Amino acid sequence: MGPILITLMLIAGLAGFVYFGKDKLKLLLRARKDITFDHLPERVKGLLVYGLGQKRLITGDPSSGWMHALIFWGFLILLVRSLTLIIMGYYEPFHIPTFVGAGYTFLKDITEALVLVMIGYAVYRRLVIRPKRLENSRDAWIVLILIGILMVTDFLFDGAKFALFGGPDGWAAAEQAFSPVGNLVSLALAGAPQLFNQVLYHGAYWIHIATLMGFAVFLTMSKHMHVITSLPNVFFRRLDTSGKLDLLDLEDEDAEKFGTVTIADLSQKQILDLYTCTECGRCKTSCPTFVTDKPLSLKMLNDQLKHHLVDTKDALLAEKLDELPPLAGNIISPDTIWACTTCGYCEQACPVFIDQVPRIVEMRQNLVMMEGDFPQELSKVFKGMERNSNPWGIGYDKREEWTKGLDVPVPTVAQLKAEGKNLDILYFVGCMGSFDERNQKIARALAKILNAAGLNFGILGKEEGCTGDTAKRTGNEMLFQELAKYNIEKFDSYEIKTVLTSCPHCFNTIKNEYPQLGGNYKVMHHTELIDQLIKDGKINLSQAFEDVIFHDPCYLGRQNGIYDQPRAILGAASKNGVMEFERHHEKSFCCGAGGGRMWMEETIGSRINEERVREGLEKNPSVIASGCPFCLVMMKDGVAAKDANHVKTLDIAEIVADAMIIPLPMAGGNVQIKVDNPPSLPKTSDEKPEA
Amino acid sequence: MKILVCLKQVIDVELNVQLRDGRIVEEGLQYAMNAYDESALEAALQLKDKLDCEVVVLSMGPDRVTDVLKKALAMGADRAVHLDDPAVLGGDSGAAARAIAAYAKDKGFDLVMMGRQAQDTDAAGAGPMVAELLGLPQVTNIISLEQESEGKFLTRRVGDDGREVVEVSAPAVITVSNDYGEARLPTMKGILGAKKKPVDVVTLSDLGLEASQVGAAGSQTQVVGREKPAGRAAGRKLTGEGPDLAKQLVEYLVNDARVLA
Amino acid sequence: MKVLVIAETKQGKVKKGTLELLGAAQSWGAEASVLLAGAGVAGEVDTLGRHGASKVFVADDASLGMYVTAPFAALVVEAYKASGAELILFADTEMGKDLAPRVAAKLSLPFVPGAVGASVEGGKLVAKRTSIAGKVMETVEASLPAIISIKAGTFEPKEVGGSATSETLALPQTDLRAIVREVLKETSERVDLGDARIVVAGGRSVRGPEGAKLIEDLADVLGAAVGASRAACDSGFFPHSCQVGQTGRTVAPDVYIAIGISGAIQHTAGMTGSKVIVAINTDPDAPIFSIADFGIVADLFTVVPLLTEEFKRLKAGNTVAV
Repeated sequence: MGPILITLMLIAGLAGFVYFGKDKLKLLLRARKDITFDHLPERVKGLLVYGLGQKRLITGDPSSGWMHALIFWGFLILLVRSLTLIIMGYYEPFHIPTFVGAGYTFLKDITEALVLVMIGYAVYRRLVIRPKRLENSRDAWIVLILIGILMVTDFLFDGAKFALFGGPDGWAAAEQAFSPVGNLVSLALAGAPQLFNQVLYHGAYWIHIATLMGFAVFLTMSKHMHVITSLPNVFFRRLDTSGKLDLLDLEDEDAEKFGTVTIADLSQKQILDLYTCTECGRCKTSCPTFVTDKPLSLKMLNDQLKHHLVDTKDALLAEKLDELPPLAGNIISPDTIWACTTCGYCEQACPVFIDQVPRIVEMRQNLVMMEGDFPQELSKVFKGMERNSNPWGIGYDKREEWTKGLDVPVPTVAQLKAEGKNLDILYFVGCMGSFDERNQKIARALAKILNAAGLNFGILGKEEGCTGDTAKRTGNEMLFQELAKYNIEKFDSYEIKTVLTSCPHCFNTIKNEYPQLGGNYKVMHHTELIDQLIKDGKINLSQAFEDVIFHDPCYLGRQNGIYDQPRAILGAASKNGVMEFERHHEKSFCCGAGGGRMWMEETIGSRINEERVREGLEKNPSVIASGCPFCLVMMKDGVAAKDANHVKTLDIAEIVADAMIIPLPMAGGNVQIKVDNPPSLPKTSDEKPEA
Repeated sequence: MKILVCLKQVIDVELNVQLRDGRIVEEGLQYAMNAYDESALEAALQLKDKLDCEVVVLSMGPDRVTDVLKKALAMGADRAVHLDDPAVLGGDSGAAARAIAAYAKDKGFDLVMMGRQAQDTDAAGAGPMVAELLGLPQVTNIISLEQESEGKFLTRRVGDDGREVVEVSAPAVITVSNDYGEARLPTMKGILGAKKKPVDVVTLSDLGLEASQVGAAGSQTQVVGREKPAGRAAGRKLTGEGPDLAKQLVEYLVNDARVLA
Repeated sequence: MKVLVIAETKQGKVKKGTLELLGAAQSWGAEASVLLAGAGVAGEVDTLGRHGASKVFVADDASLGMYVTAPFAALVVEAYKASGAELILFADTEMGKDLAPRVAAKLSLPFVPGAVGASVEGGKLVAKRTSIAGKVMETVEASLPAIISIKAGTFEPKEVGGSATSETLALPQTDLRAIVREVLKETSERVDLGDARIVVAGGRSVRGPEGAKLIEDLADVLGAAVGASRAACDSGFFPHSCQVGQTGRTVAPDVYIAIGISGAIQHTAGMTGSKVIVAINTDPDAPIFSIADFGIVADLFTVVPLLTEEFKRLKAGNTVAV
């Protein structure tokens, strides 16, 4: 077609790509190294399933997911076509030989037709459907137009080619036979003057090549960088859940700062994340803060950081780091940084595995530990945790008071060890269960269940300390490590092997983050244990409830994958199964308390918990069940705010304690007793139980 | 400008307190900086944020009070002074004031600050006593403090009839309400920097005092007994429909509580 | 025994706390003189006499209209010397807290602060006071002469119908290095918290200005003072001058109506001296119910307007006995 011209175009394309792309690469390479190749098999599998397989796109939002998948697969398939076209620049009649070439030609035609239809659908979505999560962006339109041009010019090129050089004895006849769409176009062009077709033939070709080169260069400067970086981003993704945050090394004597201050502090994976954000907005759709009109839009966060990165690239590449402004307060507002509940929905929704939560926590770390600049409500919380190991600062000596008046024994571990008794499991109550009035009922219910199941359990009582989850998530890493080290030392001094929690935040921290500090235990959430007890026949439930809807707590479900056990339990306790919120399982909508938000006032936008309760009320439940003390308080307040006081908000432990069937020897089997407080078991068969 | 902030280490008042033989049981006790004194320190540090001044903190008692001093240094104080003698413990306001005044006199402090009261005694006596012993004007229970001009300070305090704006000339003694506002948390920077700041140890004889003049021995009032206060017994608690309950409450208020008498 | 009572005044009238101190002197059978310093207060000599004062030292001047330490301290010393008293009584108010210890240091006298019980036995002052945030009740002794400040509600005023002689004190010449520039009064015609017989207090459950208004309306119809929990003041629903509790005012009215207040110790520490405590709260497990004489588990938004209406009706119809 024109070897010199094609060579020049290739060079121009390459040069443009390198020119615009090299700085981006340099910015990536200079950042803090955290990209690893560990767990290779898992990473490769992820690449295949999420990258090539487009799994999250398809399952997350099927209509647009399939659209993108087809465009993406089409793009991959058509890489060969692009190569073929370029070779044609040097040798006009080039085609892939044998049946392979024929098969590919057919595939290419169908693919291009499909891609064109999908582009049409994409345009329809942006113009007519206008989904909330999409913003009209110049970049998006440019790319849709470019892809459209590529598909159309290729068909026109083929059409003109077959019209000029096609059957029955032209050199392109063989190809024409396997090219249905191209053939159709050539039929339409059959009656056109030869000059017209020749101009079309050459024109379409060079426009296509130019567009291809332009596209390659455009990739380096737009959100379509994701074409280059998304597969690597998926490959290098964090394999841990967003519930497990990194340990900050506070021992480093030379460290001048902790946490993320300027754009220069972002790590390589975090820079790659910025390049890969395609602005699809899936992170926004159920982000609890975004949906309730708070100024945290992850998409915008990515966007702002990305632009700031590009704006400051000169200073960064020259390592003039003092010139860089602190991100908090300049690029990102503190309201944004503090609005996040760390629920992880955004990370679960993102098709390209961008890490959102650690970045926000790292910004909080600098604000809290270096600047002392954080929402005023947290001051009391930090002081309370430091002094008395709970966010309210209530005297640590009152940590056992929830056991007062309980009719089942709750021994402390210290007592058990002193009496030389066995300990099967440590019940780690947590701050909410120990001090919050509503949640003390959960602890009491769980104590009853453990007793009924005959487990040798104990609590630490006054010796129990706060796990530090709130401290960690609000960026107060030094307080977290202090609290964690205390607990680990305490657990180890009693040789604790198994820990039971009634709070998913405690569960997550002890299970996922204590090992980083040397604390390794088998950790169970009470729904896991209760489910096991039911399956082992240690406790039996009657169907005492009905119209129960289950709210997946973020730190139980999404962060730690525990979905089935709560549902199994509720199924056993309910006459008519378990209802689901519209947003359930990994798409569960946060109650709003995580990330330290429980302790802060919600002053912007509407209330997150009210939104979740509104969603639940759609199903007309009589009970909203959850497995987390924060969720419980949030649901309770939400129900009160919505004046829906006929709906009870209960924890699974309470439901189980209520629905438990206590076997009585004298009744010769299981007798169903449905009371709020199960009576203590009779000592002899002559004594009747108190009803 | 030089500011002295007096910090008392008190029993953590969040804890339950056990009594044995009229004394408080030490086992299981935790100590903390008196919250009111912490507010005083915060007020001093806020001045330091804006002006060139040295903040010196003073605490008296056994070894454990160094925790309070270290925290103050981590929050931003420049220098700490530890009056190290167990004899200073257990005294009334007068004994404490005598020790403080002995240290503070002739040291050229522009402001001597402390919390309005100590959380363990709730006495609120030391501040005005120190002011009298040093012959200085006093402003008590302040909720804001700023320098108006060289040597002149403007404060807002809570009085019986509302808030007052009070102007005072240095040198002066100022006591701080714990409604002053949340005291700052020590940052990592502060904690690391505190390790390099000086803690001076002084003894009673350095201050020209005898053990008999301070602490329990030096007090003009003596605590001769301690007991748990009698609690209030619970009365009636009614549940039911709102309007019905309101009626019953009105009856109670009029007939039993005699509100319209 | 002779005692000297330091009076507190507001707008020319003696405060209830002063009358309580005279009541204390009565209960000890002591002879009481009073220092009456203020602006336009001379007319109160009769009131003081009727409540048991035998002599009143009067310092009446515009410059004494607002309490400020230096001149008042000087007057106390003068009155003390002239009275021959063995015990000086202050009310445990902001003024008392500012003035009493200063005077104690000036006169090198023992000082017992914040007493909730006091008597004189065998030449010794024996007082009861709380410490450790109200968790411990101490018995404190001091030899006379001594100074004591007494919490509101510890003693009762007693009208004995006597009369008092008065002596005018000269205005002290003091070097005022602390000057009160202005008093930011929260405008209200309501009775002051410290003097009120009835207090209606709101907690954070009032949720906002509309809820706070319900509290205020009830207070108005009952002629009561308005109080509030710290949380409610911090949220801006009530001014801080209404704050009752460990870090606010301590009050001891005849009736304390706690509305939407949970009853955490930080609040109750400021009002357990009340004769009758009434509680309204939606949470049946709220700690306030364990110290309330009468409580209803109800929503304040439903009940308080009904109360106000009913009291309005009762007052209008003059039917008091129900």
